[in-house]
Amino acid sequence: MEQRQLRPVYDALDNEDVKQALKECNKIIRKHPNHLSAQALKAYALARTGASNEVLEIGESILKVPRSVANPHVRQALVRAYKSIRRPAEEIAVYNAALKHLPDDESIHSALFLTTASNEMYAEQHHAAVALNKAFKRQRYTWWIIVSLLLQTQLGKGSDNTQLQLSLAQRMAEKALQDHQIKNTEHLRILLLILEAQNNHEAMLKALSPDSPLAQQIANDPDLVTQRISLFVKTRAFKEAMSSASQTLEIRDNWADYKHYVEAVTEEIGQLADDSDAHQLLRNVCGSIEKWSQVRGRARGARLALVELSAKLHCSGYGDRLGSIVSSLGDQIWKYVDTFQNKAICYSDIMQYFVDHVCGSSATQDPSTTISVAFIDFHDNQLSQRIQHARENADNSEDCAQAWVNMEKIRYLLQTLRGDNNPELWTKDVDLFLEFGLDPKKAKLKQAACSDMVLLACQRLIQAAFLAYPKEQQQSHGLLSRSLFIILPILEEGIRLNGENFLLKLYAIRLYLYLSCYSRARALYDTLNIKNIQNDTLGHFIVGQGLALGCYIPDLELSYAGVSFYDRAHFTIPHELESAYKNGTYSNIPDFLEFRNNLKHSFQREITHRCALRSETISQGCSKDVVETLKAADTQSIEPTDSMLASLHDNRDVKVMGLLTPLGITEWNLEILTRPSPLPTENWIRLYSLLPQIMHYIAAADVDMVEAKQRQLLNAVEEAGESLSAYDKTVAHGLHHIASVYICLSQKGDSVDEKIDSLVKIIETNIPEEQTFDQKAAVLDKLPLATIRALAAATEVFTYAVTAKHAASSNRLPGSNSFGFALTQLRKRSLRCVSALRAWANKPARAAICESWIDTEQPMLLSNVSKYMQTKHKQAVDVVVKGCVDSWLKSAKGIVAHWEHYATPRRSVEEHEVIEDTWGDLNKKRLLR
Amino acid sequence: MITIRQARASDEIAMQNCNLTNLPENYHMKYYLYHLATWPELSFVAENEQGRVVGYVLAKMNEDMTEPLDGHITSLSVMRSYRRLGIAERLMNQAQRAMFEVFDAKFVSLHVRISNIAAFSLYRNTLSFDIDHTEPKYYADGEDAYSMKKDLTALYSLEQENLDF
Repeated sequence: MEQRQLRPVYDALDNEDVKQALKECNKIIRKHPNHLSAQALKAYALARTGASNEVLEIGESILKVPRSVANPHVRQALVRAYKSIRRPAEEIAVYNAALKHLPDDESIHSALFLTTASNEMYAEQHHAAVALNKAFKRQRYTWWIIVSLLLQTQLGKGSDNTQLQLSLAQRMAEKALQDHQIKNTEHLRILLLILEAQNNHEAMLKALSPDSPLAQQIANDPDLVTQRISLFVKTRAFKEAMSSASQTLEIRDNWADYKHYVEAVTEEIGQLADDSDAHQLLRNVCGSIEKWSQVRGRARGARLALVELSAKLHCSGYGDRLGSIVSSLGDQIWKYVDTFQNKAICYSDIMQYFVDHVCGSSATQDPSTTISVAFIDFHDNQLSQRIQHARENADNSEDCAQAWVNMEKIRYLLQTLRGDNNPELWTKDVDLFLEFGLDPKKAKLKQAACSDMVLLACQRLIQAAFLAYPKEQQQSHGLLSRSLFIILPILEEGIRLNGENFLLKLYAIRLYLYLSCYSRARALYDTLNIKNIQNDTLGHFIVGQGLALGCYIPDLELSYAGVSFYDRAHFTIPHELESAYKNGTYSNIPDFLEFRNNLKHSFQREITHRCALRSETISQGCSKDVVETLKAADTQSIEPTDSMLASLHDNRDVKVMGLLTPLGITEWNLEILTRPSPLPTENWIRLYSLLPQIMHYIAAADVDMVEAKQRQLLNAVEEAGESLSAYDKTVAHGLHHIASVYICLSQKGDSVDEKIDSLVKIIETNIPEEQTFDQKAAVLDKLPLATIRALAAATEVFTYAVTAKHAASSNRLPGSNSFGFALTQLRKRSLRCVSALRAWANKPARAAICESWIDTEQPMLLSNVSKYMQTKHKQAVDVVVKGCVDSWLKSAKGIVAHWEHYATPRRSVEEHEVIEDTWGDLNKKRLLR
Repeated sequence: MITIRQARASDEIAMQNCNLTNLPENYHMKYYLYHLATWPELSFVAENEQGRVVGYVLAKMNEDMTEPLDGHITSLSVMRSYRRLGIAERLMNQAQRAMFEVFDAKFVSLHVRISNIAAFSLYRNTLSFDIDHTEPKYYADGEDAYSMKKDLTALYSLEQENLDF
């Protein structure tokens, strides 16, 4: 009967029609006011709309009814409702209430455990596991207790009983092992984690010994085999470590095992007083490595192990003592290069050893401090003997081409380590790279090597450009812009020849954004098919850049894609965590929890969220409605507390750009050099959390809070220093002045006109003179690096200023009219300037590029490259010209539309029709509710 | 240089970056985690000397409970610059061995795009898979797949491991 009554509700929910589901629930409740299942389903439907308070109200009333949650329909619907609004404590209350009436129901006990487990409530999880085990005595529940104890000690809030809990968990797990209840390595891994938490390495070794009942599984598990060797090293049982590693290296080729083996050998040699013993040991080791290198497919690992051995011996000071057996690190490095130079991976394998040799292994953070010029000269000498041969033979085969690529990569590294700051040295021979890499016939046959060569050419040219036109001069003249513009056709042509090369695309995206060309950068980004977790790791390449370049809607779409990924993750991970408990695959549980935590407190997540909030506010334009939206917005949840900021985890991938140099040498780190704006830090998050909060308190007319947040804003900006971009600083200063104006208006202060003038001045400073756009060359000097970003910043500040004015008017604050008048005047003047930009981007821009960047007679660093590209790859140059002009035009249109649609919701004029559908979708996703 | 180790949840970040251009398929997080939560012993990653994941194999057991039990390779990916180094073979061998050792699998199966000649040749020539049948329109973009299969019993049953490791 109940099922039949509820069917329409379930159907509506299945069809994601929440409105209909609510209608059906209300229909049943009207007829049967005490229908608890309908009430619980109504709570669930309401939860899906985000109406948390109503859900809690209904839930409370249901729980007051005796035996209500003994009904499985009621229980399940209510639990799902609480889950949707993320209220685990209420979920648990439902299960506890149900258990009072159904104490023997194993499924409820189990559900209670899984709820606590997936909500990181470790103490409650332990109690639930104990209760389950007591009531039903199953082996699985014993392990649930063991895992709960481990998690409580590792991840729970500080407990005085940590050692006691670990000992208890250890005893229970060891007993299971003795009773042969440990059937697979999943259980064993938990035991190992418990022992590791107590630093009990001896017991770990015992658990991993060949006498273990799981010996066979351990032997076939590469992780456990490696863990055993590392434990021998940790416990300084070097002979055992060598023996164990040696046995596994007979049958496997894991680099981690080689590393432990070499470490154990080096330590053992240190303990041998007699040189002849050391020589003998080393001879045996080299003999074994030589033998392994003869096995098919294993030469690379074994040969690299010899390099590692040489590095370790020299680093430990045994080089002279044992030099007769293992040659010097420099020689070993070149032996390796000679053997594997035709493998794409050769450079990546050997790079760190070059750095260690030249700079000393302790200089990873800042290698430039301890450079040995003699060693660089040695490597230069070795390289010069080989590089010419490699160049001459590059056409012979793919392997030969790859050998040349590797030699050139080594040359690049040595130049960096030497600190070559002469741009000419970086552009040397690039013409050869381009001839090779951009040859369509060669690209067809040797695609990987050709793409590598194109990338290498661009990396050298970018490096040269940044050396020639240092940071402090970049804003004042256009030579850097022109240089980057010249590099872009090379990347575009490389992408045309090999559309799958993501590195070329990433560099092109960076350069386009550097030149303020959002649309072309975005088009390339879209071809990378970034989705799911890549939003978290790679989103930093572009999220927020649309906002800074006047392309608000495309940026909002990307931000929503990111935000929805994090929301999905919130539900996905607990579900799989529950599966892990049910399946007994315990080893992943700590890792799942850490992974979830890293996503939950992801840096990029906070950044994406703040960008979405800003885009939403801006995209609503200067309409009065936005005041109401801001007034109702929950801005408490984005309070930038110190503890929140300290808990953030940075998943942003800054190593993805295929750098050829150690990350620590920042002047030669192309990922850092090509950033269009500084990578957002905690201060950025603080600033853009305060922004919606200040606007909320202005809308809500809470002057005290506006003042408090304004003070926080000042502190945040001061603390941030150079970590904020010019754009961010403009927004911060603008917001500070908006707050000042509003406070002054509220307090009927005398200096309101002065404050309005200051605010207007900040906005106007970022808007160029209308006449600027009459001079083609002058525009190009500044536009790509500064003008559009400054204009977009002014636009953002203006939007907030108008919103504050609307708030002042709706609160009938005296002086709001003069505030409005000042903004209207500002708008009139600004609109002429931004319209001039649009007109310039629409027509003269193309000619300006041709005159100032392409056909110019003015010699400069990359003139030869420019000529070469125009002569041989004119089409690629045209693609870049079009990409730049179109992108600037779109930015200009976006900004103009904003100023034009002063009092109505903003829609990009040009994209009006295209975005009509998208806009509807975006409205559904709004964060500011 | 490469270390092969069991995949972890946190590897999902690196696994998807590995897929940046390698595979048209880029599964949802749920799918990766489902594999790791259900058959953690079967999925492996290849890590380079800097700890960066450069390849992975995602594998599972078929869930229809039919006899004999068989495993399935869901996804195999190796970054382009790390190809021709035997990494795919090592990953596959590790997964196959775990299927046999842990789950007593008798067969292992996989699907491969009929246009993916490099992968097909790896499975057939290097890893000794046979074509079982062709599945029309198996992939979301409408491409057909070869369903390939390999007998694991003959491979490992006679093998005597030296347990004194």
